Amino acid sequence: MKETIKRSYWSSGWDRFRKNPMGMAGAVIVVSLYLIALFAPVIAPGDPVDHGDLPSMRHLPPGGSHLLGTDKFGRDVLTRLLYGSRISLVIGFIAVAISVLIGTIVGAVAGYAGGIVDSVIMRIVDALMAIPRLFLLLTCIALFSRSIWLIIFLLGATSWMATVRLVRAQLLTIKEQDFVVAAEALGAGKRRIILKHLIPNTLTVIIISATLRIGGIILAEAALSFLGLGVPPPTPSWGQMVFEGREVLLGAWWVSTFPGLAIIITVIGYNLLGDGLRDAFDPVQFS
Amino acid sequence: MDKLLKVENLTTEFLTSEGLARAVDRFSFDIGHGETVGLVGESGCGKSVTALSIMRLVSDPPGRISGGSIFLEGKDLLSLTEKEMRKIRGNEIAIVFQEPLSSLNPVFTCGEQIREAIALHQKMGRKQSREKAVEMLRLVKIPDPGNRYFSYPHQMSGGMRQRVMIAMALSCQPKLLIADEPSTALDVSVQSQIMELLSDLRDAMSMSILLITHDLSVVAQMAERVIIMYAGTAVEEASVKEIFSDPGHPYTEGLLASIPRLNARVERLSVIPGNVPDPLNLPSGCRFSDRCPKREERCFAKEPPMFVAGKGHFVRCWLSEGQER
Amino acid sequence: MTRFVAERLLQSVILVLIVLTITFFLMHLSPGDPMSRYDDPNISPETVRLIREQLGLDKPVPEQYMRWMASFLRGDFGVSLRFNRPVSSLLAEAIPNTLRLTIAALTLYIVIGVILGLLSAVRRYSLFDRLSTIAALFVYSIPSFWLALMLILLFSLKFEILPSSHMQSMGVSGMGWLARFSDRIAHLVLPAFVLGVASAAGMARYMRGSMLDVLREDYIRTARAKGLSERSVFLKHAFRNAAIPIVTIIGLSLPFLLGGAVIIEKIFSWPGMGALMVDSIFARDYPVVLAVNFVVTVMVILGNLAADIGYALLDPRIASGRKAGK
Repeated sequence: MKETIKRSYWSSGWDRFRKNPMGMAGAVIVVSLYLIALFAPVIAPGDPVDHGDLPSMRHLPPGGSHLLGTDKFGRDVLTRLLYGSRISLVIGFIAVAISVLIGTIVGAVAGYAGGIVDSVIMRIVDALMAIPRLFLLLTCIALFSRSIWLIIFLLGATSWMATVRLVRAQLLTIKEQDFVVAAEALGAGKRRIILKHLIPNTLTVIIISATLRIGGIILAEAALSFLGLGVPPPTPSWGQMVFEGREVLLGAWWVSTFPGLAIIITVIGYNLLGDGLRDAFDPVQFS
Repeated sequence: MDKLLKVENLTTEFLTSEGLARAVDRFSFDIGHGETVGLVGESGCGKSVTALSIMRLVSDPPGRISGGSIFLEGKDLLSLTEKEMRKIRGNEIAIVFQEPLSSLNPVFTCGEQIREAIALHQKMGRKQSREKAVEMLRLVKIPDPGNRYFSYPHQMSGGMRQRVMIAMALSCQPKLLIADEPSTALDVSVQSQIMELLSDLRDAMSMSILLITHDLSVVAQMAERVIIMYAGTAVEEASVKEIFSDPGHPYTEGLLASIPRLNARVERLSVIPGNVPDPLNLPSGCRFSDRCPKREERCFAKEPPMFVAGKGHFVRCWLSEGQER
Repeated sequence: MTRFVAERLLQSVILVLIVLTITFFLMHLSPGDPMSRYDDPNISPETVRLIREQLGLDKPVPEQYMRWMASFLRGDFGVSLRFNRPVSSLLAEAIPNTLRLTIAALTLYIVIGVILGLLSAVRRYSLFDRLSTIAALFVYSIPSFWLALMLILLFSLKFEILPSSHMQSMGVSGMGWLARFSDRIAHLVLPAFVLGVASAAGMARYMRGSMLDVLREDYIRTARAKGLSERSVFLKHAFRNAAIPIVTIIGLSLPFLLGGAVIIEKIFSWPGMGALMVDSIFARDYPVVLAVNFVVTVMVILGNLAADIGYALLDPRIASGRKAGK
């Protein structure tokens, strides 16, 4: 009985999602980006860090063998753009996973424990949310030495607070439901109840909010890289590529313009996908 | 005798996902000067849509008045421009809604909401219109009106809020007051006070009232004439006396039989099985045929017209077949 | 009303204390002993000990925490390692500049957002409404630094009509009052626009939704039944109600605006707290980093407090305490 309800929930949600052109467009964009990231070495026309023959290769305009032009080191912008998708996608994915993991655990503890534990946790969450995200990130980055993994970790570790509120609110409603009360009455251990019943029930909400958050995290990474505090060069990152074009805006507009467009398309893709999933699977929760 | 309001073949439709639904279907009635007419029917029969149609406040889209005419003292309201219609609303025709709390704007004081109508239609300045608003509060028997002027709706009781609504509606001495279930949402103890207030004010101000209700006993207290509405149109029309003594339509009989059991808040008739039909799926022939205890073969074949059953008494039922109206 | 404000005030104080504690922990996480810069053979161990005592570093951690907290709350944020000046004097220069930028952006985004949102609500499902929905989605997804560069490319480099950096032109001090003023405004246009545009998109969406919700209410029908014009119905009866939740949204947008200021200030060489923050990170000037972080957060908390009070002033139901829990 429960199985069929579950299956029809997913399949009817999927039906709704398929009929939403915006959501499907988002899905297509995101899937294409992952394919590009995966096959970057195959489809890229050149090498992302190959300098070419300086100075003749420097700042070549779009066209010919360099479809999107070259940067000040004579590197092919298109190639670096394709490779740059790897950073954005990996960071988006792992950072959100970290953020969801921390947020879910903290939210579950707060929601389940209740009382003083809940109040203390929620006050700390309030305080952390009052600190502007970028300032919190920068403060943490200032304190530690910089590496790509640290950046990813910090992006995740500074964005879990919204998940806490979401998970906690879900738990508070589910906690009152019969099957949880019954499970507790039957003597099931607290932690077991959380893991077995509560977390799966909040999964949809978590996944949707995570998808909607990836766009913001990608933007934050791009901002850090633009400030020179993100992924260390020469690894191609879109934010950093925009930064590199900054001094030659008028003469070589393409160096900054294309990576910016790439960021926009990626973020739009995730936002459309998240909106589509939300509308399809959780029409009431968010509307 | 010239009528104050004459509604002819009023038809109001709503665009729904399943098609065009006729909430009001070729509905005709009139109201004389100083007369109180009760419009009675179950919820969903088109009473409130009729009220909104007269005010031309049916939300468009999805709703639309698609046919008929509404004459106020000979003036066809449906042919007026929106600007001309605004001079009628709140001025010549006013309305009191069912839910006083949600019908009052929460961020303005009660006094301000009355004052606004006065200033709009009577071209009064702020001070003058404020004095008039206080006077209206006194008229609807709100104690300490000078201070109550500054109260917000949430600071008042349900009965007080409805008094404010009535004060607002009457502030420009309308010729016609439409009272759409004015006491239904209130506590039983307050209901009769509100009805009493309305009937006192009607006598004092010599206006006409269209009293919309699902409760025939309310009508008995106040109205002179009753129109029974079913599935978008009138099924019986008679004086109050005759409706109670000699009902002609089986639906009216059902309504009468249900009076003692009617819970004031549950708008449902226990003695008539079934519900008002969906306007998209009217039964063939008479629109009451699927629920009627006295139905015959012919009831499914053709919809009956209004038959004359006595002086000023009309019934839309084959059982009363005779001269057509 | 008084009780409501007092409650919110207490909550804000608690938040500030928690943020202070977090800052204290972050400070202890920061690499190196604060004394490491006295790691010099020319300074005698005895002097180091004296300085350590002077700074209170010989005391137990809880006592250090209390002392440190007291000095932070007094506005004594220590000394900048880079400039060897009190951090508070650096902040005194930077804060007004950041405020000028963020307040300009705030004003701009509220005005643009509210107007666009109202128009969308009035002309629901029109071409304008659809276009602004798509535009909002697009604007959300634009990295602000990229937008800034594109606008600089267009307005400063190509057409040369707007300045691209600093708060005023060189040598402007000799000019008249009006010239100085318009010079300042010209410098403010691009950064304030870039900083506010994403929030404007959010505001427009929110305003639209809020208006559409309100327009479904019964009291709107009552207002129309009074004979009021659509203009009064919209601008008086609907807008007053729709604006109430908007105040909260403005409060919630503050962290976003101040965070965005970091990048905008850096790009437009605007001498505010964001630029100070980034430069201090590169210089590993921890006292400044922590102080800026703290001050910005206090600004957010105060802003939210102001939004709560504004909410209470706009909604009479809160003022009388009936909806205080909400």
